[in-house]
Amino acid sequence: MSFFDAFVQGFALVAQWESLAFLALGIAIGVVAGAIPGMSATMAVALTLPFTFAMQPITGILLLLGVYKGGIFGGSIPAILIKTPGTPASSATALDGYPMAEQGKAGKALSMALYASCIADFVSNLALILVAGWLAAFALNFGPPEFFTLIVFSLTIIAGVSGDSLLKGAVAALFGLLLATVGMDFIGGTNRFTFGSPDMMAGLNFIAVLIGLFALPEIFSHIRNPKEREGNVRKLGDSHLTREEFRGSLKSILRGSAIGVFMGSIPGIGAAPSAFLSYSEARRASPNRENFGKGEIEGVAAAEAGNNGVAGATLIPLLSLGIPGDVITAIIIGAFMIHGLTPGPLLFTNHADLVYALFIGLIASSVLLLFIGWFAVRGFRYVADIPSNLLFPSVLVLCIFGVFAINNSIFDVGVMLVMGLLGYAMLLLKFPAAPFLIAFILGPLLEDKFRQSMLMSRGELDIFVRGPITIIFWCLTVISVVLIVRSTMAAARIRRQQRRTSMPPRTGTNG
Amino acid sequence: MKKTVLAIAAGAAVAATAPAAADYPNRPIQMIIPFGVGGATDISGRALSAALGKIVPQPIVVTNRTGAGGATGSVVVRDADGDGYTLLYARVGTHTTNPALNPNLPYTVDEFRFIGVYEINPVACVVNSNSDIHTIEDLIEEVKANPGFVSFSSAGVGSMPHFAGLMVLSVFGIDDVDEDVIHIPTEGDGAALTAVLQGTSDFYCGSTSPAAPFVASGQMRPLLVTTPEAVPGFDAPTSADLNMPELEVMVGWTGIAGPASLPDDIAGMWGEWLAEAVQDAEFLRIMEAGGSQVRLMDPEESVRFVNTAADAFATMARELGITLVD
Amino acid sequence: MLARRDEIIVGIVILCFGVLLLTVLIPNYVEVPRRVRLLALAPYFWPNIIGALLVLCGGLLAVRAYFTPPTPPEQTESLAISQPEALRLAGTLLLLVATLFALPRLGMVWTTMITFVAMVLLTGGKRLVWAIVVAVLLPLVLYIFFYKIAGVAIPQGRFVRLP
Repeated sequence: MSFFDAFVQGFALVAQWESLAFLALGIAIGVVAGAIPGMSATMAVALTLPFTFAMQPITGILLLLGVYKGGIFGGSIPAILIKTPGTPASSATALDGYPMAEQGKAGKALSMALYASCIADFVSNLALILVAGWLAAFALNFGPPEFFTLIVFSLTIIAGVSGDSLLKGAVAALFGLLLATVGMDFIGGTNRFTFGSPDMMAGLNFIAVLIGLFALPEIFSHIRNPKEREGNVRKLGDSHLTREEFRGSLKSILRGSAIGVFMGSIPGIGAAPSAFLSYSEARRASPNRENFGKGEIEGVAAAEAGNNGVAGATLIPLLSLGIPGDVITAIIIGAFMIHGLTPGPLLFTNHADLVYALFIGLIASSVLLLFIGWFAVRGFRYVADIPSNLLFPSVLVLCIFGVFAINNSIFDVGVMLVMGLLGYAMLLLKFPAAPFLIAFILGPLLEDKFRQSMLMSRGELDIFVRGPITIIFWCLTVISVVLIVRSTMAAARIRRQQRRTSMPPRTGTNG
Repeated sequence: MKKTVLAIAAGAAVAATAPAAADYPNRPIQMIIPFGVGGATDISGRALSAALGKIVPQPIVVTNRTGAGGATGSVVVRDADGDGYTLLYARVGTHTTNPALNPNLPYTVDEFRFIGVYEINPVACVVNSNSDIHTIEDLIEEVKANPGFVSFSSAGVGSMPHFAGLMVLSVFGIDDVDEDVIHIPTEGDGAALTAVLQGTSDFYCGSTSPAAPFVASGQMRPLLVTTPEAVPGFDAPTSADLNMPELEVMVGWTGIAGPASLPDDIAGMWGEWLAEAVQDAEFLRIMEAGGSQVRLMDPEESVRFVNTAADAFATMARELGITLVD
Repeated sequence: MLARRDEIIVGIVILCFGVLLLTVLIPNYVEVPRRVRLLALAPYFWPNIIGALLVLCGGLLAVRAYFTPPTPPEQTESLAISQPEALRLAGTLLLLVATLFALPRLGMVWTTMITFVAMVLLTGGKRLVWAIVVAVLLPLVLYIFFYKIAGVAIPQGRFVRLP
């Protein structure tokens, strides 16, 4: 079958109304599910899977892809409105999205999230179609040592989200790394810090940790001082985005998309490192660097672009090699298998029409997401109107149900509450939460890939410079560290100067 | 407001008293899958639960409780009341290989009562097709020539591929498997096969179903299957061809278990329901697509099968010196 | 920014935790497999590195705070807490512990209804009628969604089961 024939047949498969209808339905389900805290895109895809068994292969798979794409965008809605990210990736969106919502710009933040998502999604789908073969070969070269160096490099983004004090960011990250070691040891199979509890053996669920860390401290702050926001109920704000705002963020969106495509094509990384990397790169490049973390719209754009840029690219190793890149694509592989289709190199030869139908459907999904998301933004932004003394208890109830639903575990609800206390203590003592979270997500990868590499090389350290990919990442890491040191020293100098000019030195009462 | 609450309370069953088996089941039954969504156990368990849902008079709620190689979910069922409302989808990993390899697990096999093993997965060993290893003999020679250099990947410590890799080598005459081969644990069967594809590890022994696509596409080469019959799609010697019947104990399985206190009459009811459910066309279609063999054992046979397998594996693990801790 | 004294205390607490990790927690609560091929593969390898870095960072925090000139009072955020605030936070803590304890026993729906109202009362009890309406409806809607649509076995408790 020639390329053209396959393309035409594929187009015929998608151009049926039911294919498009199911794709749109999937996106709508995904957006709503993603908007419920604790109800992640993964769960939504898993729940939709059984319904696809009875469908035509193409409609079933398009339905699942729709849920996937919708869910990833949907996760940004609670992250912005109530600082309750449903997935680790959308916690990067919360960094600037929630401050914007507090300033009465929730509508703007949501619109930006939508546009960034759609553009990144589109870029990611294009990458899948155009360079899948090349990126797949690249992914195959990505063994544990390459992974390890990538994670080392990704950890340097902690500096970008540490706020005022790099040292405090580092301490927060160390605690994140430490908590990530709880549970059954991946390599040795023995228990670490489980204190005899079978629940602890499974480790701490990261969604429970991140909801506890982000959402609960807001609730505690509200309870401690309920009057603070009473007179100043957050306004919806205009959801219209000015052309300047959009143009100002476009570069970050495209950069985020590229980062997403790259990270997505490597199996096993997931969207969170991509979102954070995109965010910290945008911050580094932006003239408004100081405003990041305080409600900068470009931060929302970068985070969402990094997050959604992964969505199409994870299909690259799936379709071309048969390797699932994350949990969601692992579920989608199941859907392929049920229909007697096997992702992998043979899929392109045996079912070329289906592959092209998928490609066309994916492109359509970016456009549909824009429309469906537009309605969702208009619907959900009214959440910002709810008076805070009802909003915060509602968030708590949502979190309890949502966190329980992830793994049917009341223990996880307990983890969330304890992490909430820790998060509140960190808030009071000015420790940033984002480095903790990044380290918690990347920590197990860092440790496992290091030890897998050591197993491969029988302890020889030169495995970490075994090829061009590892060397590139080491160089990037060094550049990144140099930049961090320089900017930290510059910031410290400025602070010293300010102190000298603004205040005559005085002997402190508390020194 | 009060009215709604009252109406709900009135409509609800009061579950303070333990239900007798006579009116079992009178509320939804929770079936726990101790692994993540989308995995082999999940697809199999959900397919069977859908078929059971048409037969069992009460709804079946499928619940994933992941973590620690299935240990977390297993413990939840062990600690549940033996009233038949909480059941487990147990698998070769949770109830054969992991208990054998890890004496420190928080549960033992006899804390469960099996009411039906329904699925058997043949096991195959595969290598990358670029590899110099063409037969199992090649592999053994390689290990003997370079002890401590050949590696295999698995779906994690205590998983079936972990045990299978070591056991197959020992059957073929490698004495100190713990010393002579390197075990690289990965996140799951998919990741373990990816490791073979990337050259991170040299071989993988595990269920045929996740490996089948890679064999079909020519990316991987099968070395052997552990069943006496040939497995479709796997052009490799069987245990009969190799004249190695001791390999045959190494098969994957999935079954349903309750806590040890589960009474006989409830187990009997499940035996009947399962016999009907495994005939379901949709269930059979999904199992066939996944490359598993449906073989239902009645409650007594299931208990025997699992206990025999668990004992055999525990003995083997001790003899080979591959337990994680002493 | 925190007051200088507070920063020093925080640094010292972190340093002490690092020492506790290295001397008590890791030796006692990290199980070691029968044989470990290499030091780098031992389960205590990373935790020890983390512990050492915590000691280092905690020490640096304290030392840095000690040598920094005191923060001007108008930029200092006090950690002092007023009595009503402390009472409310203590009440919340009790409420959360009680909630966690009640979830498997009373059932998730009933527990969260009570928690919701208690929390509204704790913060002054404004819009109480609305609060009760939301407190009853929200858990019920979530229950219907998660149990009936998503098939999640929401804990029902030992007393009154929902259909």
